[in-house]
Amino acid sequence: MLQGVQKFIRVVRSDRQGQARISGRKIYILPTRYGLLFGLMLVLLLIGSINYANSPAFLLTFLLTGLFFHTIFHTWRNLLDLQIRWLGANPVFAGKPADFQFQLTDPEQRDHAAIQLAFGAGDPAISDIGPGADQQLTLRETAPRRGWFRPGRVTVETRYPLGLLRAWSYLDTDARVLVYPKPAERGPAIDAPEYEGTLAGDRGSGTDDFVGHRGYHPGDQPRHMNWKAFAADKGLLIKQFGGDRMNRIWLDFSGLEMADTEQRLQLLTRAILDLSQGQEQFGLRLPGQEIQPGSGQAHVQQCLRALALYGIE
Amino acid sequence: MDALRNRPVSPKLLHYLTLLLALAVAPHYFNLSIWITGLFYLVAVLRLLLWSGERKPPSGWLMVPLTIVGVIIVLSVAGYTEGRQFGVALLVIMMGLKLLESRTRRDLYVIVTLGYFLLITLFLFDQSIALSIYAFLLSIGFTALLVTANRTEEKVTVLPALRTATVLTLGAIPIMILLFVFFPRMEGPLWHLNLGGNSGLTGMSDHINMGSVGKLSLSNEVAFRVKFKEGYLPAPEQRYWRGMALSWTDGNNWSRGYQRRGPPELITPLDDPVGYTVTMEPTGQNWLFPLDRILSAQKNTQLSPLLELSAANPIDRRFSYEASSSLDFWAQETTRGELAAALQLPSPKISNRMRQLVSDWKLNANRDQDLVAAALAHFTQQPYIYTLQPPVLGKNPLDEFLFETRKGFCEHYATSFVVLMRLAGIPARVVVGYLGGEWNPHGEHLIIRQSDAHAWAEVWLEDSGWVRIDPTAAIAPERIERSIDPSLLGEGAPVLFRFDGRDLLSALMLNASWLNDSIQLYWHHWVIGYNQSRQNTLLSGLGLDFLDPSRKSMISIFGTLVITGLLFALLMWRMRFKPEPVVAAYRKFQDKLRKAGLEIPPWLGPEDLARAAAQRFPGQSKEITAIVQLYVGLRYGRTKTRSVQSHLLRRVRQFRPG
Repeated sequence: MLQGVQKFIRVVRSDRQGQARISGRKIYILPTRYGLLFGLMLVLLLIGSINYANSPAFLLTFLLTGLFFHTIFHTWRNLLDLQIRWLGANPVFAGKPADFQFQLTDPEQRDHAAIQLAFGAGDPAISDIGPGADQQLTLRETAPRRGWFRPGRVTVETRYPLGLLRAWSYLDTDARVLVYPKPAERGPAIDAPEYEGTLAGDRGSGTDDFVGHRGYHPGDQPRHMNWKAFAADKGLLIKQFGGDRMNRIWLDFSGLEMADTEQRLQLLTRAILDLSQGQEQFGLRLPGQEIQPGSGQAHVQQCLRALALYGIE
Repeated sequence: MDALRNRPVSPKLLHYLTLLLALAVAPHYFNLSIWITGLFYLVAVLRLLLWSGERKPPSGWLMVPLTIVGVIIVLSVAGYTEGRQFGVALLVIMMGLKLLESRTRRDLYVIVTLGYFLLITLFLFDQSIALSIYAFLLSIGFTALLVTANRTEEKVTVLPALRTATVLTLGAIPIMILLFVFFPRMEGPLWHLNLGGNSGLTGMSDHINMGSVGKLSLSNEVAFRVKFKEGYLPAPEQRYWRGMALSWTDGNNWSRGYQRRGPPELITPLDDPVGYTVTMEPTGQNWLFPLDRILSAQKNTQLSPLLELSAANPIDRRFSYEASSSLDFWAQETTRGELAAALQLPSPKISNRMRQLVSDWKLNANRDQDLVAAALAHFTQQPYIYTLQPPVLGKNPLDEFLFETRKGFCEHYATSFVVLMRLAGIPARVVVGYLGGEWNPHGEHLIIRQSDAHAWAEVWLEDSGWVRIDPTAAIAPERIERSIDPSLLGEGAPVLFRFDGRDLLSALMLNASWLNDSIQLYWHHWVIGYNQSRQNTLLSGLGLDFLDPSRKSMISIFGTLVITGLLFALLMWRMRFKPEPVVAAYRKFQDKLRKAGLEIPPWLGPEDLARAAAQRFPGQSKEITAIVQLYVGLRYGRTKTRSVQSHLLRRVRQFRPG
């Protein structure tokens, strides 16, 4: 039944550049609750005018009636020609609010006052659009679980200028956000060695002590290159450093004892967050997937992404 | 879900709101008890002084007792019996209390709704053009409040909101006119409320005594206006507006006495009938004052046997009727009872001096006409003075006036003349009405004021029938030609008459007042007096006389939709094809860049566009930056002058990229 209705709803869809432009036929318009109250007021004023056969009262009643009808156009036009583009959203942990950025423009350069954006029944964001006004709106929506979170259909609406009418359009965008698993509570379990595959201080790489040479791999830092050896025509050698404080840690999904996959992923997330604070290099082993030890922002994000999408993609 | 409804009302908005409400309540100072309006202003001032700005308005525990106090005051001051006063007083008090507790923008909606109601209630007491304009302007103010409630800025500025509200209201006018013309009107009210007495109204009454007409003459208020058909205008000495015939008297007071029922008496017109339309100001009475002597009037009026015209209902608001009269006529039909009533004498008040006077006249008179002439001659030959402020008369005013004070106004002369005629055996009666009228050349109508109130006599002469005799004409012939100017009256001073302005300034003043008067008449005629019959007249004039009420309703509804659609189309057309010159120039600038090969994605802002264009066309980078800066200044900044705008247009025109 609902599906049947859904088919008839007109929805604005994005073009290839991600722009969704609101055309006149895609705009719905109905009186608001205050608009209904206003209508009731007009009826009462009309009854009063008729009863007292009072011409100026008739005039004022009819003026306000005209105002209502004229406002239909202005409310409708306030939504017309708006272009909405989803800009993106930064990944968040499950249970935390994600900020979806939208850009609103009008190619006709018209002003649009008080444009309100919301995901379904979610919290709305409101702003003026157009020359001299902010053109970006951020919608905040709580991401429920890990994986890709699609907040769904966007409702663009306006009640400007009088609040008597609500004009709105449904908008399908590609808006989605990557949701990392919710990090497990910090506790003794984190320090337990179960999720550490190896803790041995083998020839881990670091910056402290010179350990030896190895062959060059693309991506090695130039300052670690042995230029003297290069000058002596011994080929590209990389100076390797190691140290006692340097650990190389494997985070292994199958090394964890609990049965629940989500719980394991949450623990691993916590571990990655903790480890990213320190100097350790860590790698991640998931069934069917292995991320070589490393460190840095990009590495952390790669690991979290793998956890977020584990079993999903 | 409305993101703005819970935003607080800023102090500036609160000031604006309070000012607006104070202005809307102000005209009720004349209509309501001072306690009601006073309480409202007290509350408004309290709100501004105590709870303005950051401080929160009073909470619920204070509002409950305040509401109770307010209702008690309304009940004790206005009372239920006066439906209109009670309702309006309650509305004003509710409004004050709502103002007191308003804190968020949602409250603005309630206030605006109450405000529109308040504006309508103003018309219950006064329907003048000035008040209508005042209410129209205030309605724009209230609409602007709605606009501010829907703006995103935290600190709302009132002026742009007022501009938006004005645009919206002006666009509403076509629908207003359509509905006003076509919306079906009804004959009577839906229900009857005690609308309150019209005690403050002035007008000629159907019982007079010596001094009552004189009091009326002090008022410069308009009594009625008359528009003649076919450009006819009766001569000043023919402008007798005949009201009621008063036959019964006790020597002090005069009234109509016993009234028989029956058809109006026939008269024989000796000239062509004169057609005209009279617009009466409210009097609270049924009496109408057609030109002497009436032949016929329209349906919702009635004629008594003595040819006195009255409306079916008391005239509580302006009332128009059409009538035709004959200026030269014979009125030879009468009844025995009528003649007997016209000979009734207040015997205790008849003094010997009066009998003596009449019997002296009789010695020299052969016919009734000679007696009439003798009475009129008496008034001119003896030292009688025509004055609006005659001395106070005692127990027998007739005798005192005729033989002692000899100072009086028209009713003194008319009543004493009638009594003297009756003493002489000639049936006579007093007639009250108006005499004269000021010609308004702008509206081409006559204005009859209360100061034109007049009393004269009708006597029965065997061979002529009922004949109009105006004794005032004998003592003060100018009175017939000119109106009295009440502003020139002093205590006991002789009456001064209006003269047309002789110097330029007074001529201009007179013209301005005439223009104002004709605007007033059009307003009365086409707006205030626009009722069922006038609607039918207008529609049949437009060839739409087949419209019944249900068809009128249909036209109202569909017409509203059609006008909305037309407005829609017009505004869309303007929006599509006539963009602002600055926007058009910028678009042209973009087109030129596109033609020269620059890709411009639609979301690119002007500054980014300048950067991209300058990179692509390094040769014109200076020109590009200048144009974009001008555009940004005109669109976003405060440099919105004509010269800057034309500068931008010229530079865009001369711009050649690539």
